Amino acid sequence: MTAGNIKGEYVGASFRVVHCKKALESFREAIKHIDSRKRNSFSRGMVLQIERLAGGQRMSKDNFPQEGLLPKRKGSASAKKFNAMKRLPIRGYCWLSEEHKNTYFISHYVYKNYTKLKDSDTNKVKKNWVRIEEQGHEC
Amino acid sequence: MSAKDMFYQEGAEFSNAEEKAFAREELVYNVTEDVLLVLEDLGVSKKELSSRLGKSRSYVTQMLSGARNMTLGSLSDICFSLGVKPKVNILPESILDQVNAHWAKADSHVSYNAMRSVNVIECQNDPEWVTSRVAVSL
Repeated sequence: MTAGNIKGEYVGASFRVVHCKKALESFREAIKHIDSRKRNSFSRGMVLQIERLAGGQRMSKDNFPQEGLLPKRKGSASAKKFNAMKRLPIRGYCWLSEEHKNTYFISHYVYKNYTKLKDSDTNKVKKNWVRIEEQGHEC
Repeated sequence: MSAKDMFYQEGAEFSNAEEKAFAREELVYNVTEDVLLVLEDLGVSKKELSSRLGKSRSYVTQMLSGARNMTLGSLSDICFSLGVKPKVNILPESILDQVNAHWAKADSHVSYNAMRSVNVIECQNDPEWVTSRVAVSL
């Protein structure tokens, strides 16, 4: 492979999908837990999910479920939820931005060999949400 | 541009075998995703689907996760049991490129429909068919 840049975002027909800072590093970390013979397939799986999401095609609840709560926006009565892009056992947590039109941000990826959503993952998404939605980072 | 550029270095070249694997997984992923959406829309659980198919729950789970190969025959059986009709379009890649380019440039209804046709499962149910299948499964 040639030495070029890794793109932090992908623009499809309907949405832009952006990796938050260190999100790709977390993917590389998560994929280390996968059998080396299957790693390429997992990367391809994530590429396909991102392309479908960005293309504006519906995603199933099985592979794109709603997970924990995002922080509450100022003046908003309730908090929205973030989603998980599932390619078991890897998940990428993401949310649809209200600040940046038609943009999904992928907070980070985890190797998830457990069922319940961890507080540490919710907190990581929340931190990224605050940085991007309230402090204007990464855009 | 492809979302591949998010995971692989820009300009990375893929072997024919890698491109083939991508194409295969793209079809499997999009078909299984469309089947899952039909299940959601019809309110049919995987358990119910396995019962309609006369197969085990794990067979259905594995097939819909892409872990088990889905043959055209088993896709047809799934669609038949759900009362939907699969529609397969085989398009030369050059046509798809034109459709995608047109879609990117203009907000054309025609191009939108052409783009949508990449989906394999047509989610229009024949009410009589659905009823008859449910009646059979009961």
